[in-house]
Amino acid sequence: MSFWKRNKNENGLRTIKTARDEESINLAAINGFMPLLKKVELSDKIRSKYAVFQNKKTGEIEVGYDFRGYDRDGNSDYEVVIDWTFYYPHCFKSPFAAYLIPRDIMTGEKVFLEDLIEDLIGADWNQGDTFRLESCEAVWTGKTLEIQYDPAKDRSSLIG
Amino acid sequence: MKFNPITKELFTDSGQFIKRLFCPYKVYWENLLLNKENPATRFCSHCNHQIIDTAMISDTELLEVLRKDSETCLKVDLNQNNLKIILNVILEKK
Repeated sequence: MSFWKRNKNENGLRTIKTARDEESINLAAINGFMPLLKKVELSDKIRSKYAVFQNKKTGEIEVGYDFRGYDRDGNSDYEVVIDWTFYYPHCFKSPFAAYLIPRDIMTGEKVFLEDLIEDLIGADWNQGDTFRLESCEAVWTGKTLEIQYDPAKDRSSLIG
Repeated sequence: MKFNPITKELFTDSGQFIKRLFCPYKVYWENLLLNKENPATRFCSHCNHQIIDTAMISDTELLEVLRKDSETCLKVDLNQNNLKIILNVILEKK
């Protein structure tokens, strides 16, 4: 099961699904949807960090993602073998994807994109990490989806 | 407690799974109604129930609340003192 299918649609807006490979895009088209193709463009603004600590005696490692809680005074059995490094934490199977637009969608209709193709920041952390927005509302203009993303509302608190 | 902001999964400090967060209404904590009797909770008018601020509750208490009602909503702030960020899956493949 893909990641987006784990989420339940409980709001009042019509949900627009995303297909992330050629086969599923074509399957949707055969079933009456109009695939709205988008490039999967990775944003360098989305980033997570990690560091790897290794036990000097046993060789076991521990991976850290949070500056808090890691001893750096040298008294620990663990030493830093990979220092804090930022990376892009997602991997998409195709460089393109498509929002699956129902044929009866009305111009101006507000919908819910449950698996955003675009890389938008959904949360940020004061340790430098920024996390990808998973879903967002959008308005169908008649030709494309206008994502209703407001950066001013980005915040680190998550509710659910 | 521990939180994976990519999968939005919340765990106890000992690694016991608590809940995966997902809010389809995109509510903001600041917009929820205050509970004067219990500042650790706020009221969500969309779902008609309380949302618990995990910064103000212990792992044990949280597990007990979720055991009684698995649909209980939670609020997590990445900067809260009782939270450690984890990313168990480095590359999440969609």
